[in-house]
Amino acid sequence: MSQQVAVSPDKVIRHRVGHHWPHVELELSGAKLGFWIFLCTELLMFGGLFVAYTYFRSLYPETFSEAHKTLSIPLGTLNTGVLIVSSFTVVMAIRSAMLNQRKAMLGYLYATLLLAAAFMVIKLGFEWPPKFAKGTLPAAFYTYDGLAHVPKPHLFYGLYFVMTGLHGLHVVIGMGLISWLIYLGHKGVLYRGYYTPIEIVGLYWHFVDLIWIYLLPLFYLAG
Amino acid sequence: MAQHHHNDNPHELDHDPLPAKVYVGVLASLGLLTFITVWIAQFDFGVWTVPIAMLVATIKASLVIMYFMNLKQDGGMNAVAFFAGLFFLVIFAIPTLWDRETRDVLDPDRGGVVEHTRAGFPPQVNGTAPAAAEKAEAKEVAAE
Amino acid sequence: MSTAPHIATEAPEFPKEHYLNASKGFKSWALTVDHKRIGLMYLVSALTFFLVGGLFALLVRLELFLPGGQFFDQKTYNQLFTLHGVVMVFLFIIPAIPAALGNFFLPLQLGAKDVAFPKLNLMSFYIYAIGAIIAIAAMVVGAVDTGWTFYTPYSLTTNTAVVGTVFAAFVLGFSSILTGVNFIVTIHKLRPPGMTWFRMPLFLWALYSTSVIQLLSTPVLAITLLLLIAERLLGVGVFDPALGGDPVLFQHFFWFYSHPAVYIMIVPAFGVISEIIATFSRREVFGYKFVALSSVAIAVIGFFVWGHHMFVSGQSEFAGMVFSFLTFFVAIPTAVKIFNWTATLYKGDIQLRTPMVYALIFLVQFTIGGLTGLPLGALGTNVALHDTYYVVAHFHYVMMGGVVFAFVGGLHYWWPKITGRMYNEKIGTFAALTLFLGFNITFFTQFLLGFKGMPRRYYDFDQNFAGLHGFSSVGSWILGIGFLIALYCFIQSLRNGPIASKNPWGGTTLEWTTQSPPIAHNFVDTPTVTTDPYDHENSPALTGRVA
Repeated sequence: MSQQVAVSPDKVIRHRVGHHWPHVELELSGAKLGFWIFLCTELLMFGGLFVAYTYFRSLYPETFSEAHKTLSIPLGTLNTGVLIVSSFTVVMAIRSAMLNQRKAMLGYLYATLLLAAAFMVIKLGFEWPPKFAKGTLPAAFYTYDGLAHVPKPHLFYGLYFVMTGLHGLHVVIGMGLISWLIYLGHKGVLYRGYYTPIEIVGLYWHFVDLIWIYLLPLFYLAG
Repeated sequence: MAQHHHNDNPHELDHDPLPAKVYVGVLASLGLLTFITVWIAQFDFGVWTVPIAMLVATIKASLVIMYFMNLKQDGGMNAVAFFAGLFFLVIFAIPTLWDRETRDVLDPDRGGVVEHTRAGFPPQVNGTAPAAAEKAEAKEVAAE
Repeated sequence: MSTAPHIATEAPEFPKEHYLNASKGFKSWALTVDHKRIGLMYLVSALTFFLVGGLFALLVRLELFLPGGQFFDQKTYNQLFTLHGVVMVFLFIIPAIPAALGNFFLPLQLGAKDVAFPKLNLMSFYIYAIGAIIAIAAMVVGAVDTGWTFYTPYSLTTNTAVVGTVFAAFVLGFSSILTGVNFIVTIHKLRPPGMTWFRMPLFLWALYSTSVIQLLSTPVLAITLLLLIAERLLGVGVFDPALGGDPVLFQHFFWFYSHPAVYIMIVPAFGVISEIIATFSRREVFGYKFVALSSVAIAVIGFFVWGHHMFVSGQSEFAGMVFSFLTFFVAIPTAVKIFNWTATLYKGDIQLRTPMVYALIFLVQFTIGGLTGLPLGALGTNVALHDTYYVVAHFHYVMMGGVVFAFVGGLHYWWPKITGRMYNEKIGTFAALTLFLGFNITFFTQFLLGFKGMPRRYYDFDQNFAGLHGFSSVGSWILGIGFLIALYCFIQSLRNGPIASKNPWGGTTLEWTTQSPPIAHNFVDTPTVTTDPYDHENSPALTGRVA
């Protein structure tokens, strides 16, 4: 049964809480509370961008409904699938840690890292270069002719690049954090008795997934 | 103070995870909802198009938050923190958007889009090369 | 009347081991995770930037001493008042009380051995330091001349280091956010046995509320600044009318942070004043629960009113009316505090030490500042007063007459605990009174200037305004002298001050149960709390019985 806790692996470094924490439960719940509060700030930061998006979409509806057609729905959907599966693999990594299944934990972490890399490759290797070639870019670099029939087409791309760019930056930061988890995992720090770092990075990673869940319909699909 | 010390060892955790099938179920649901998201995008629901897309996205988001991020089990201050952020985002959005909507009610010249250019900026968008920009500048000076 | 036992002000000898000598060397400070050392580093940085910002202010007032341009050209003048604002807001006043005094005293007052995330605390400080370095570099390369508010479209076209300055503010915002996270989790998770929410000192309620404001508002500033940078570098088009954007949208984004920001500045100051008034009246604060919850109320209501900075911006009149109406509500919890402090003082056993002098001055000056906010919040009168010296006077009364005086008073109050030494009361009080004189000469005059129609951020003015401007500039020199006297007071204490006892003032909160200065881990054993925070009969800080 996969619910059975494996024997504690040999090369585990037994966890001791910081001197100011009375109990490891407080350390875990404190870390989680702290990170949910931080996510609240990230929500407001990205939220501001969504407000700007709504503002300009209501000002220039035709621009948005025409310009979004230049985005690739298959690639956007593929990237959505990539992120959703990577959220799943992070959760499974935590589960494996709780069950002392170190190999599975590391496997899931590597999978998450690979999926994150795939997301960036799809975006930077396949989605963005055609845009640079066509000239569908923010105003300072905009040279596309095909949208001359709608007002201010560069606005759509300005918002697109800022929002997906900021999101992409968060993916890259996430890759760094997952790599750190892999390092901790190999070192033997993460096991049933202590998996707080995976919980926290997991929360971050799910949030990155959440933002993309909203970016997909707003930029690629909404007409 | 929330202290659930069911665990005597103050240094090491002792929790059991949810069954794997819960997470597989959530993954499958998310996949299905993504398919629905793309599928309904081909239909035009008029003014309801965006709200429907947002509704589907929110269902997906709720699954991620409740199960992957474990908010359903944790609850408490974590939920308060997250929903406080959402609440204040709405507090920001509503007056900002409403301002734009009502700006031209009393003074019709004020709302909407104002066509404004600066000489020579930006050449690509205006479709003007630097030469045409100089012409625009000369016209502005003449108008003064 | 107090029945507390006699409290010794001075001690015969300095404690042998404390947080300052617990470890030695540069690395022990550069890599410290002790919240007290981190607080001290913030304190020194904040005071340094106060000096820098103050110098800019003196230069501004120097130019305004006489009509006509004597010392600077127009662009330089614009840069001077911009830098005064940027340095004072982002590098001094936002971090000052929370990061310096808050970091030092939150765990001590709570009864904890450190904050929840000590390493994150150190990282907050380094992020602040990096932000400061970027800001200084931007100042040197091409000091911004847009005003600290960076309004578009001018901030998009001016040929100065907008990107650098704005990026510095972005980085500083992260420091602010991480400190807020730390404080909130510490208060939720590290309260010792018996420390219920309503047994916490009012300074902690203030820090909690401030952290909530910081966390909800700073991210919107972050995205505003990022969008400004993107607009300048890439031409996104959200704020630039030439690209189809809306400058009023920039103002919405900017003020959604910057209005709550003023509550980030004042709410911790309110907390300090509560502590000082309780200790130096030898009484519990009247209506403790109301004062505690009023901090939370200010935090929440403060988010609904940002449009009162935008009444004449071209914003819709309907939005203006709603914002004006809501602005009046934010005055109510503030007034609750003023009345409750006054009631605490009434028939209290008043000890007129330097911190109390600052607190009493605060009550007068902050009330003036707060009341003059009302004509500005009223839509009709705002149209006449917007962008005049009336606004400048109003915010200096609350930010300087309020926050700075509370900060210096708090520094005097907690000085014995931080350093283990007493300062000279006569010098301290003399500085306070000099500052009171200088402050009111400088800024009360500016209310009159504003009524007469003198616009703010103007480099030159008509002869009609010359008398008042000259008078105000003289006041600024008296202010400068006052701060030098206060600085001297602190330096003299470090060199020669008498050694302080554990509880020189007869305070009742937990920091006064520790030695002065405290040991590295704050408490030998985690305290158990059984008394209310301002119980002047049973507090362990007075009875010596640490439970």
